[in-house]
Amino acid sequence: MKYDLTLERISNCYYNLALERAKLRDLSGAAELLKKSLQFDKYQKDARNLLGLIFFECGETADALVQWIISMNLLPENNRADYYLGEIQRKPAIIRICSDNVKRYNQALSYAQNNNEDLAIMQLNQVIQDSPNYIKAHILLALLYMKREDWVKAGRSLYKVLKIDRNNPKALVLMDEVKQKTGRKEVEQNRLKNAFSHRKMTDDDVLIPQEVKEISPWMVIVNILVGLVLALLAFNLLVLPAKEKAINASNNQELISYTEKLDSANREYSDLKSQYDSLQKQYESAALQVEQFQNANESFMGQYQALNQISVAYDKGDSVLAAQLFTGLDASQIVDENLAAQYQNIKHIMESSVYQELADKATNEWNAGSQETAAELYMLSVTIREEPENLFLLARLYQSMGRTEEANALFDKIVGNYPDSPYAERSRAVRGY
Amino acid sequence: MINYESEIQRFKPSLDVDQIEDAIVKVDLTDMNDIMTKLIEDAIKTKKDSEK
Repeated sequence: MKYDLTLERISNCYYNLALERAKLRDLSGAAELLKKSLQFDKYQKDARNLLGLIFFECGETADALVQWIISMNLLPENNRADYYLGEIQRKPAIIRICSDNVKRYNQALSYAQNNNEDLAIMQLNQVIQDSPNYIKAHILLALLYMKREDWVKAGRSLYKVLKIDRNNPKALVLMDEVKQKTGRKEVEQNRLKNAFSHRKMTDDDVLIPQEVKEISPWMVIVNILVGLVLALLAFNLLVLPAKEKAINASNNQELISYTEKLDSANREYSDLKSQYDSLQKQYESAALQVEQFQNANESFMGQYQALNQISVAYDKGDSVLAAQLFTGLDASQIVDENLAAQYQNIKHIMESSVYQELADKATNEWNAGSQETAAELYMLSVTIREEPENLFLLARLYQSMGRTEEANALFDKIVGNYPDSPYAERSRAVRGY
Repeated sequence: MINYESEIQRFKPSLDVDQIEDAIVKVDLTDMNDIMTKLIEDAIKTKKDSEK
């Protein structure tokens, strides 16, 4: 029969139109055309599958499944719906989430219809979180926000809807209302008007040339002069003061800038000065420390050399030089532990044997008639170790040399310091008391 | 001006996945071809009846 072919063609035309709309994301328009296409030919497989796909894109999974199942039942062979159903069956979580969302949406709708807007909004927000493409939920949410006069949030929801389905009739109507409330519509209209309007030229816009009057040359000169005078006057009155003011302002600004720079430089100078003073103090302190260290070092070196010379002289058998160096050493200045130990060793040697050696040498010298040398040696001996005997011998030597005062002082010292010594008795006898 | 109360009443509950079977059964799959076939059949029948 011919009519079935004609119906198929009409159906196909509707399908083609729907496909064009769907490609342009006019999902609502496409769905309407696809329904018409199926009214003409229920076996139009592609139309039914596309309708299911559009339902799925809009978050209506159950409706999508209905279309695909029918499609598969009507034309089971080589049908894309098989793939769609397979994909959904492969991921059972999708069906579960969609089912939950539909239940929540229906619940929210019930809340909204029973004036429980708060609960409805809460439910719808959860639904949208799980199914961001659920157009019906977005539109209902927008409507609820509009009831609360929360135009911004309503506009946001509607914007999402129009992003998914560009010509959704409900969303467009609501968006129009939102734009009116937020004043956005007026702005857009003005913008459109400005973009596409052409102002018609009126009679006033037409330049009508005035009649040229004949003017005498003198009048021209007078006019020019008057013009010059007026120009100079205007310049002096209007331009010059403004320029002067501008120059003054600029100079003032410059002056302020220089003052600030100077101030900054002064501050920097004082900072540097204080830093310099601080560094100078640190330097002086460091120099003092260095000097102290140098002195200590020099002292150490001197003491070390002296002790070394004493040891060398003693080792060579020159006990006199060793004694002289030893008596010339200030023991209180020795602070280094090693040097102090060395000094103690030398002192022990000096006090145990050298002093007597010196006394013996002094006696020999005295016997040989060299009283000065003997006196020096006795002096060294008693300086090292003060023995009453050697003191007495030195006193007697002084006495014989005619140095009575020094002799008497030594006798008195023996009597005072060593009263139990036999030389004390002899000293008293010499002194006559 | 949109009337919220009347708008909200126009919303219909969504189809749940559990209700697919019922929905498929209830879908009217009659297309123009079916209608035309029925019309032709009726016309033939009427013609036959009138001839009798």
